[in-house]
Amino acid sequence: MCTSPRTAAGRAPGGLAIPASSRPRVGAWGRRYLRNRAAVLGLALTGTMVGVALLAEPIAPYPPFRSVGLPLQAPSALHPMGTDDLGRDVLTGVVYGARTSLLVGVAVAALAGAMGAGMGIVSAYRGGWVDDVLVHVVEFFQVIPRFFLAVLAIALFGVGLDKVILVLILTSWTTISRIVRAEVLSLREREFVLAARAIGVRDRTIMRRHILPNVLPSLVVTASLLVGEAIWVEAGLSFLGLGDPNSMSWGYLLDSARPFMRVAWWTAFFPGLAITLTVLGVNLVGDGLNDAWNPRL
Amino acid sequence: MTRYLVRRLLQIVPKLVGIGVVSFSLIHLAPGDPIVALAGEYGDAAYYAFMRAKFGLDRPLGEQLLIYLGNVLRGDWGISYTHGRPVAQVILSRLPATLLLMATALALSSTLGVALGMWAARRPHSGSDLAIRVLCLVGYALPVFWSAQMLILLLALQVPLFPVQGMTTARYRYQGLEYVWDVARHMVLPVAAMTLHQLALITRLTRTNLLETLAADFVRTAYAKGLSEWRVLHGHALRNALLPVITVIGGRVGFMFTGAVLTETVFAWPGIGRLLVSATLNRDFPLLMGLFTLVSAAVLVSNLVTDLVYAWLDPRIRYG
Repeated sequence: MCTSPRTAAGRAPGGLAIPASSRPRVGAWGRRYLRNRAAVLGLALTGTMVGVALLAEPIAPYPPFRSVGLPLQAPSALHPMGTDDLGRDVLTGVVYGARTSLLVGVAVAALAGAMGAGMGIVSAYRGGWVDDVLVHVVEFFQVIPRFFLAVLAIALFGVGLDKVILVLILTSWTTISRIVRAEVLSLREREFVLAARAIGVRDRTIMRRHILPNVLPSLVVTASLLVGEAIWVEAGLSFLGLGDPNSMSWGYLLDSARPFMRVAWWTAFFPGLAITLTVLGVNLVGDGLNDAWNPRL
Repeated sequence: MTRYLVRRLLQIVPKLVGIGVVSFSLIHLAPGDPIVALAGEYGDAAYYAFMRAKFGLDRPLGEQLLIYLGNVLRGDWGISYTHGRPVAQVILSRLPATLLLMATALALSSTLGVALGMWAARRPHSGSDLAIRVLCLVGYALPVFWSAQMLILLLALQVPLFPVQGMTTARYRYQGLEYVWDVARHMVLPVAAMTLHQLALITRLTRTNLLETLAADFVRTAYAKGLSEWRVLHGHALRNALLPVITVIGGRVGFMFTGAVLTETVFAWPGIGRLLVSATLNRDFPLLMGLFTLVSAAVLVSNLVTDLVYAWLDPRIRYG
């Protein structure tokens, strides 16, 4: 994310300064964000999960997928979240699952965000037939039920995290593109864009230097909500047994816990709690960013 | 209104065709012979020959697409080889059970969501508002398949109030009212799991929109001319605040199908969710393709209905 205090103001070849936009300074919204207790809690939750995902090897007590104790042991000092039906440590599974979930969430949000922003900016700034075509493409993709497309793609092409990520990007970029397009439509009529155009700045430079920084706030907010949705869908697919068998995931843990719920609640409780807390954290961060950038309500 | 209706109906056609093109492309992009995707891996030579002729797989790609679209749009999705019956028939036999869950959850989450949202918006930042907002945030983050499992754990296993799974009690063949009561008892937990997530979203949206509307000038005018809080809320604010909520509810049909699939898996509910799972595990491609097309079409239709309801409620739309 762009946090350098680079403003949207630019300098034309002739030395004329282009008026800066009204983008708030980083420090101001940073302070507003930190005053919001829910947002700080979200940051803490998300930060913890990211830390766990990055440091899975030193944190997890055992290797994933390996049987390290008696099956279906209740939580104890040795296995704080108990063991599953194959004697695998549930805590280890939850720790490594964070890696899979966050990888999917971040990859989808980043790539769909980039794609949606690019399409949205070009669509609204160029207008004309480019806009017409892109609007129709966006409308069409929004009709496709992403979960069902993902199931179909996995059945046809085989399981794999890359396929899940690809399907999610294809069905998610449209949300971002719509929001970005709406913003750019109003931005492109603003004085600083008109001024830049009047002194002959090239379209591509205007889009990159003047439009993009101004749509970043809503872009980041929408993309952060996508992280939660992507984590949710990946977990759902793994829960149906359609996840990547080579990566430990929370959905997979919940799926394998199903037959043993009656005797071992912990096998289902902790992985689901991890999903809930992560999605909650990411959503709180999204809300917090939104409130910090648009301090209206 | 008629012109608007016709225009919206016409817009559906290219999208339906587009959905057909997507599944056609997937079949042809997938590794292996497309006949396997259309007829399954275990068909005999005669059936393969029949399907090859039916879908024109020996003709040029453009012609194949047209034949495929013709078949798909007529609802002729081939024969499910795990069920040995036409795909459309198999899906239709399972659809009512899913729709029962979805409709109940939708009705509950919409009415409760609007009520809770109103309650929260009337006294913003009060204790009850805070409680409702926390409930929304947590409810929205809860994965439906996990809340379903936790509900079973608490209300079916720990405190055996409701049945663990299924749609009816297999031991008895209830008739009439007893049958309805039996199904209702089985529905409680799956519907609760599905409602929770949707409820959180609708409550939150209603609250935000209502707060914004209550700050509008026309609300102040309504109060100024001496109307009671009830009249202002119901006669003026709510109608305006609910417009965006309706769009969101209508736009989430695809999502609700997903929720239904996952919930049905947990509760062994005999709907299309379990059909989808078994079709995937058995690589029953015709059935999968049919389910994908059906849900896409349902999303299209619900978007259309939402727009029509919206236009009916807000005259600015249809003349705009």
